[in-house]
Amino acid sequence: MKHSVQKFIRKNPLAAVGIVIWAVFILCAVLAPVIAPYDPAVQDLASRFQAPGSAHWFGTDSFGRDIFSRVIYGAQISIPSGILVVILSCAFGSLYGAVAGYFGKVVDEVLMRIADIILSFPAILLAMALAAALGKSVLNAILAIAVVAWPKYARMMRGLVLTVRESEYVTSERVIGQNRMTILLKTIIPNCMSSVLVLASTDVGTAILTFAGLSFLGMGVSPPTAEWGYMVSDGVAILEYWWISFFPGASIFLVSIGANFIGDAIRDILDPRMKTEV
Amino acid sequence: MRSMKKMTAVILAAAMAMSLSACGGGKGIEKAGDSTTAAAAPESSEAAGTEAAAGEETTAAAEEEASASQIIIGSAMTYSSLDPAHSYDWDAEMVLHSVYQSMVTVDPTDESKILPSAAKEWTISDDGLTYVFTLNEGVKFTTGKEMKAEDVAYCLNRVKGVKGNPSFLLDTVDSVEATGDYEVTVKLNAVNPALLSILTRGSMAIYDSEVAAANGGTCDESDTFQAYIDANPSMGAGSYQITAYTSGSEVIMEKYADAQKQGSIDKVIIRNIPDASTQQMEIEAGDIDFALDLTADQTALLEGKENLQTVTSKTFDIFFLMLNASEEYGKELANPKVREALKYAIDYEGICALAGNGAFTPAGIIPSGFLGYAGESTVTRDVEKAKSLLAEAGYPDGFTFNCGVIPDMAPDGVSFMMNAEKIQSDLAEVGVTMNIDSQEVSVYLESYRDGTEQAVIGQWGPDYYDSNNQLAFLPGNTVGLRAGWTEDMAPELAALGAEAAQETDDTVREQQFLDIQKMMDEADAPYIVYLQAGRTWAVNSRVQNIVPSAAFVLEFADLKVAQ
Repeated sequence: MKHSVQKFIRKNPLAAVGIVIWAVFILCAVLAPVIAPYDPAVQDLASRFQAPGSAHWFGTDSFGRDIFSRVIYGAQISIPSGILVVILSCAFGSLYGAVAGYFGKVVDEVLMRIADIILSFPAILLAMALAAALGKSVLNAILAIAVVAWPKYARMMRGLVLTVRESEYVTSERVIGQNRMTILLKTIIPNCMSSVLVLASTDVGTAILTFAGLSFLGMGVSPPTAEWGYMVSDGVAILEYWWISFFPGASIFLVSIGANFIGDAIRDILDPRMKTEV
Repeated sequence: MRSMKKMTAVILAAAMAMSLSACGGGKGIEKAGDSTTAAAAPESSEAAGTEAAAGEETTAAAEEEASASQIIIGSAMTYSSLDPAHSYDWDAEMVLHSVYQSMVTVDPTDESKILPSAAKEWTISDDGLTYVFTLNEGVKFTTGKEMKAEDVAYCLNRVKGVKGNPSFLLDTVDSVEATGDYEVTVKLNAVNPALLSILTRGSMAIYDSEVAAANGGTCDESDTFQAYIDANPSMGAGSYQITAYTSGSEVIMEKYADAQKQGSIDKVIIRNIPDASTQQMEIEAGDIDFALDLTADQTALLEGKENLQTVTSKTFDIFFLMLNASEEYGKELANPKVREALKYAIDYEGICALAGNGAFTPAGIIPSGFLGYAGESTVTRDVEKAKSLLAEAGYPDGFTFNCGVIPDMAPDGVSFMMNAEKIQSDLAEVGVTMNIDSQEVSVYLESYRDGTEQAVIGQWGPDYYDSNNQLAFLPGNTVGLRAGWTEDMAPELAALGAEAAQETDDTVREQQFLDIQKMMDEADAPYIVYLQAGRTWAVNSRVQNIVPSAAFVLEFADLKVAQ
């Protein structure tokens, strides 16, 4: 066991870093009430704009709120929402793409052109428009991002299904009279899933980043909820108080990059074909 | 090979993270870059002089500037036109005031004092319905034409006729006529003690009526002079002349040599800088001479910096929490007991401290500086009292309500969002949850004006500097209806308001306004006025003789530049 952990770290040092980062942030999210020294919403006008120090490790914001506590509570929003976006878009997108690829012809044409329409919009703009139209809430922001994120899963899934569809084991199932839906759900999709999961794992970081971006622009969370993107935008008005933006910004950076490291490792393990080196 | 790929991943992720912060912060930074390059040439401060010397072409420009003085004002422009008949924005006042003369003007240190301007004297008939103004002779517009009574009549009739934003100001005016070359007679259909104050506004500017009539001016709704006036040099008789105006971007004004009041600075440029942090960077770098829209937190940082001074002045702008009084939209807030409870739940001192710039809480809807001002508020925060009032009203465990807020606006440097977050936190302590509902300005205005918002954070800047203007807050009037406060909910108040609107004796008016505010307080009116804003500008210390005005912001003709 110990040996295999060492081997893993030696083979994937960056993945190990990513896992540590995520472990720390997930721990923060789960244990926020225990770890955070202050209530993230309580204002203390007597100690506004305090630089990082022993009383407030990450300093305080314009209302005298403790930034360290707010960053910790922020993990409760960012991490689950990033994961939820990926689950939603991956589930919908891959089923959609699988149906298109498997049934082909007109179904394929129609379904994929719809996906193309969504892809033709700049993702962040469409997400902004949707989030604004749906109204300001965390769930709506997640939905908005998921809506713009699913087509890439659909495209990938469709491509994979097109190759698998013609393979011998699928043909043999069809020959023995298996139901088409059963073939799709039980044989084809499971055989394509590993590549899609690789895409999903690298997508978590992007999802968190996009979510933070929406909050930064004023869509997503409402005050007093502590959310990293919103906290960054809080601090840009006065750059002299750099710590207001820096710590939540650094958290966004760490979590996104951690997700990318982990995603890379998962790809290497699950999908040897995508390795570029031999 | 693989490590290369991971490196790329690291760099990409970093770039993504950075591009995120660049989205908003960068908006400012980019702009700053643009305008620095643009400003390097025309800037006339000493620092820019040395900078300009670096380039061959700019040396000549720098020399030229040494003799011609100029200042640059950084401002978050709210206007999209400078046609007086359509202008209704507080920051357009400084342009209109300097470019045009109105018949009368106000003392910048005391807005209740009306001073002569284009008119040298005036008489008011005993019934208060006829005003006769006598104009100064020999005043020339920039077009060379002499200002006569016909110009005044034309311009005022145009304000009334085009049905623009300021037209309602002249609702009580029946007719404006030239009754002589230099005599203007204004007839009213109802007594209006605020008329002179209204006539000081920038929208009442006087310009060459011949040019207007020849270029689409018709003084009714088919009027097309607005497009002409915005595209051409101004034709007023003020100390400055607009020589170039790009809507939403820049106004360039040059000294008018034949003006009655001569300015000392040759050229005044107003540049639109919507973002306060960009204004801060530019004023620190010396790219602009005035930063008009800084928050108190920003000016605090600039205090004592070399080459900078801060100028604090008053405003008549009041900020309030509107709590809808109608059952349909106000829900819990329709109960006066609830509104009283909220009044005691708010930490006024804290809000004013956050707003800074000399903000304080007035006792009612009449701001300090107006007739009938009731002094500073004596209400202090009392959490226990608020809780017991809530229990009495039937909400011992509090309740939840929605409050509409415009998130990225900070008039007078007072951020609506900061006010909202502070009030939210205060109310949370008495068990009331206030959901902040951030809304786009246009969305906010529509639902607020329709009176369908449960609550909003609102701001009221007077349309003219007379207490009559504040009567809009009374039941059945414009703001009253937005708060679901109809006339039959408080008939006595509505009646007293109607009486005060027509009263001409100032001592009687003052008492009426005081009574109105007391009655509003007792009736737990659907507004909690929590502050009257101050205003602080950061100004390059080379600029001297700055006289701020709550009415017309700033008189450019007064300004001097140290050489």
